[in-house]
Amino acid sequence: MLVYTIRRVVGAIPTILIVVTLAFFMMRIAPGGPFDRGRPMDPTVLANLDATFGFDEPLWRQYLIYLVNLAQGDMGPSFIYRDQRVAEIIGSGLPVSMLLGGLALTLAVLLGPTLGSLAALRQNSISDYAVSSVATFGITIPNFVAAPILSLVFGVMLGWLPAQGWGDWRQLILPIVALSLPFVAIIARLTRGAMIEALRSDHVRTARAYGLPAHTVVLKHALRAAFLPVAGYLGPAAASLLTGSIVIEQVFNLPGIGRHFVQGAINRDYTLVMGTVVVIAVFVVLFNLMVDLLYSVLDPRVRYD
Amino acid sequence: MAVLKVENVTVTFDTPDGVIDAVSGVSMTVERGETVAIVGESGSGKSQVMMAAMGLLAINGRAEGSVRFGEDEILNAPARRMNLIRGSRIAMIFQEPMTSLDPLYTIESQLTAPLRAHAGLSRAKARARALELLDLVRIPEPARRLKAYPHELSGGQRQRVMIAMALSNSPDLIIADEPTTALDVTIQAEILALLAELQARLETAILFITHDLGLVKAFADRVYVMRAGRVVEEGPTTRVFEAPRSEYTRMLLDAEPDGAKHPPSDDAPLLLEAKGVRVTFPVGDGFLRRPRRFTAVDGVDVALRRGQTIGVVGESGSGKSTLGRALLRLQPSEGRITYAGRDLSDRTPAEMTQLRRELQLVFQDPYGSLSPRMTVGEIVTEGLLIHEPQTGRRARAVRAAEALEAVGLSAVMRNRFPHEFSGGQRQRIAIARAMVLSPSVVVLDEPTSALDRSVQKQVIRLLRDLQTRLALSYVFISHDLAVIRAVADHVLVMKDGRVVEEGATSAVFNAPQTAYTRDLMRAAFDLSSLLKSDETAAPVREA
Amino acid sequence: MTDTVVAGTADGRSLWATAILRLRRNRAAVASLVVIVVLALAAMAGPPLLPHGYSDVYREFVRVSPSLRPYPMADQIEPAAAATLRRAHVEVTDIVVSGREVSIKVNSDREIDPRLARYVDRSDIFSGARVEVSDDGRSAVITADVVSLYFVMGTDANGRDLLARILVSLRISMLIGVLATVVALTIGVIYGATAGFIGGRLDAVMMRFVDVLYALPYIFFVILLVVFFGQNLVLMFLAVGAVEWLDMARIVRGQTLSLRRREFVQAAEALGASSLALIRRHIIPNTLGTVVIYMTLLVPKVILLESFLSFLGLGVQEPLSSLGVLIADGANNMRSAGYMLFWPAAAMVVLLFALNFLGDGLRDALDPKDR
Repeated sequence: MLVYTIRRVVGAIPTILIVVTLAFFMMRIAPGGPFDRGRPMDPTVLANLDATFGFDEPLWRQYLIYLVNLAQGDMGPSFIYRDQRVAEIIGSGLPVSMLLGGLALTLAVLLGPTLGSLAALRQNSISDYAVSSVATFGITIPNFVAAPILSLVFGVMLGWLPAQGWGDWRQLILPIVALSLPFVAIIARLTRGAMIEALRSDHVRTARAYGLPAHTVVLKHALRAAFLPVAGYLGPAAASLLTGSIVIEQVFNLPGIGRHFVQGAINRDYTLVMGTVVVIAVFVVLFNLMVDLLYSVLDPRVRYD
Repeated sequence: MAVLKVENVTVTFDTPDGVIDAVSGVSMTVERGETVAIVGESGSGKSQVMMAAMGLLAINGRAEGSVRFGEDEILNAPARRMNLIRGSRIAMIFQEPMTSLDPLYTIESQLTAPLRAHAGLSRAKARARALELLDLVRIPEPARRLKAYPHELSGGQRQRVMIAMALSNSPDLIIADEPTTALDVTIQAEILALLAELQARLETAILFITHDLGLVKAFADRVYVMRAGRVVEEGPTTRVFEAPRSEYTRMLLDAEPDGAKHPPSDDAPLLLEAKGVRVTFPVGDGFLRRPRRFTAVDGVDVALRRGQTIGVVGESGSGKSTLGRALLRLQPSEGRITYAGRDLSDRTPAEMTQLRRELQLVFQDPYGSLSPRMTVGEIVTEGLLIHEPQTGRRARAVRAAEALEAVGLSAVMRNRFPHEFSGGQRQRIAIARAMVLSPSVVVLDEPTSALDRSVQKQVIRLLRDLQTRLALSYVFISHDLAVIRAVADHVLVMKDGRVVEEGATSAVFNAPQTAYTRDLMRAAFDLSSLLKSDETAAPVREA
Repeated sequence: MTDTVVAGTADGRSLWATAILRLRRNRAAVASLVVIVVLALAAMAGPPLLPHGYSDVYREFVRVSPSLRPYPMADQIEPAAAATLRRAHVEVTDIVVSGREVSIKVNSDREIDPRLARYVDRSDIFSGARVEVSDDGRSAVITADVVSLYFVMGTDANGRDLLARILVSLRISMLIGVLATVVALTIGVIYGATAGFIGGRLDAVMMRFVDVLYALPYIFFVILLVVFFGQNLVLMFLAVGAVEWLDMARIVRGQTLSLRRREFVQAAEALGASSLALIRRHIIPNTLGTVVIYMTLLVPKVILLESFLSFLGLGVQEPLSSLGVLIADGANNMRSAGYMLFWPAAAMVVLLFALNFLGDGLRDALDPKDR
């Protein structure tokens, strides 16, 4: 297991390198730059700026310099937020995004399987239909529709919770609900299907045929089997969680890294965009590794060696 | 006194296509310490009777009638009350040892669960008892096996674990639902011997649910024969076998394939010859890593003469199917294969295509071997499109009609689709497809194994007819010795990719030379002697 | 024995025919199909039939709420009429509104110029103004027709008809949905089928490449692509299509691989069928069902992705519109004009629901498990 973990971590480096390279060249080949917005600048000032940020070097040297700096943990200065290092900007945004994503995922992992099991155990009952319809809604309605509507209804019309902003725990509730909604829905649906299959499976029949109490049959034998596809889904979920949080941060006006990425891209803030891409790629790769390890703990048939 | 008394039980299933009657008014009893068998073909409702009795019907199933365990009425009893009986007084063994144990828990966890739930044993005591039980069912190194997960055991070992679980609370009755169907014959014999021995020692009643008459004959005191949800005959096993009263039982008993194949005359020309055939497969995904290779067929010689049928027998994994494919060059292999004196290995693809019309193949699974999106007519005449492209649509329809009639189907079926036919009919269609090109050699890969016995017999008769009419040569691959004895004049016995014994059918069947062949024969034809002889001497083959 | 009995008619029913029958029995799927067809027709043929173009601006009617009655409302006419003459240096003494006509009495200390009508006509609300100057020239009655503008879904912050904008958005969303799906499908099917059919080492390499791409945070690349290479429609659906082909490639490859192992394909090989014939007669017809199912599920995914980009302001640009743009606008104006969020969101939800239900219905109808 340890060997496997180390090998996976080492194996992730090329993936991250590919991400960095693709992002770097994609941005640089594109027309436009960070300083050519608005009025044309004095050529000497521009040349000065280019020299300061190393734009006068050939592209491949800039790339190598970036890589070397990155390896030393230096993501460079931001072009737009003067006097700020990219690391500082990301350092201030990352905890916000992590807290948001972490809580949303936790909510989804707790609520999804519960709803799904409930529906599966009372198949074709009212609660089953209720869970299924809520799941269909959650899957169909995108974040960027659900989030403003939640904000409108609970924040503006009912006034129960703050509609926007950051700082107070009450301001976290709506963003987390909006962010976790699709995941709760997908996990509930996955669990329901897997649970129905598990309840029909031969080994659950064996457990029942041997007179084990109902809660043992359901929790120990059926639910654990039904949780496997959910665990398998968590990897891809992390990626779409990131997408979702871009929207959520925008709608609720939260200072996370998703906003920095979009703003950075629009402003041609090369280093800021590169920084967010690197952080996100590392995060996705690490999360996938954790999910795989979790899977191997849950399912003894999967052993990595 | 009766342990279990089933009276007038009816089982129905609510399906989207309406209500299906699975069991209609079945009554049966099991006396203390007795062995009773329920026998029937697939769909006869034989399993559902006992599922209903145990309260294990699928969610859309409903049962009516009465089931008494001793004095207690247990049909449709609440789960809480059933749980006092299930696993403690009545235990069950299921067909699929692969899936009947939970893959996510160790053997220890699953074996001790009923002990702790019913006998209230502590964890340590339950573990000690589990060890005894594994020893009782003769699993080697029981302490190590307790820590294992089900996928780390072989099929036979898993079924032994199930038996240990069944015995754990010394039940009054064990219900065994096709407990050996998924196992190879030699392992089946070992498991049955073990069950028989333990039953004699522990005086538990056993209710056997099976489709295998040989097993009933060797094992059961009394038998119920079921068909389409009803009991059509019941009585002591010897009486039912010697003087069956129902038409259906007679048909079942008669369904054992019979007859024998006479070898072709000595001057029949050699048609297909293979020398030193060897097939290996890469193991692993083969990405950036040199794959290890697994040898499936290891140096096999075959010599097939015109009009001959060579039977290839072996258990699963013996390499017999791979050999069949290699003979037709559908599977790359080493060694020399010649057809009508021409070496097949250096044919160009175009030449090989020409030869294909003379070398045909029929598969085991009549469901998978027909394209679901083509009509039967298109399926049967696909070969004509390739080898006689000049044939027009009308002419092809005529040929399809002829081919279907030749295999005993109606010509009007050619516009229908495979999913509208039964298993036996589909196998006939597959045979028609192979025959339409008038081949000279046909490899038949388990062509009857997926069919019920009664249908199997008809298909064998058809194959035999076609052989005489069209002067065909067969390579007949099967794990079923009774079938091979009826159709082949020459036999190869395969094990682990090698031929362990070869000879004329009569010689191999009457006087097998190797221990392995003898084991196979005994397991297939002489189960009773195997069970009645000194059972404790039954070899524990599995490591 | 039932083995050789011919049952039923001579003509069989193909799996496709069975699937269509099953689909027709699925009420949710049929209703969804109807909804999709209606929406598509409305999006294609609707805009020219509407009284307002999607980019027509009515400055007097910024953010008016949805109504089935014509704008301006009766109580708006009077102040509007007064407003038109605010800079005309006349004194409005009386305004009488009768139906869709207004007459304004004005006084002035100077002589009234009949060209006064222009002030009124300049407004979007009034037309055909006629001036009757009194004999002394110091007072006049201006009569004008009041236009009847219908904004059944209200107008946006620029005074544009929301209904027209929603229909145009639907058109763009559906167009991108279909085109990007075709792009994704083409790449995915060719790639997956090649890997699956040839198999072996090539398959391993090709699929490892897909795995690497899967590990990339692709949404960020789409954003980069769109931001840095300009925001035009063609690039948009190319980007979306280029991202979504991965799933398709995996599915088709898996299907092809398992079909290769299926006995009926091996049987055709044993008959001597060429690779081309195998692909044409066996592989393609049997993957078609899955591809169709996946396609109907991909269209909503693509629409969602496009709307997501537009929501962030990275997609379709003004004056063109997309549901994502409208929803973002709605979110910005939700405090004062909730309907601006409601209608586009409703359109989006209805479209997505219909597409998803249709996809689910197709999957049930074509489900290979039922074979």
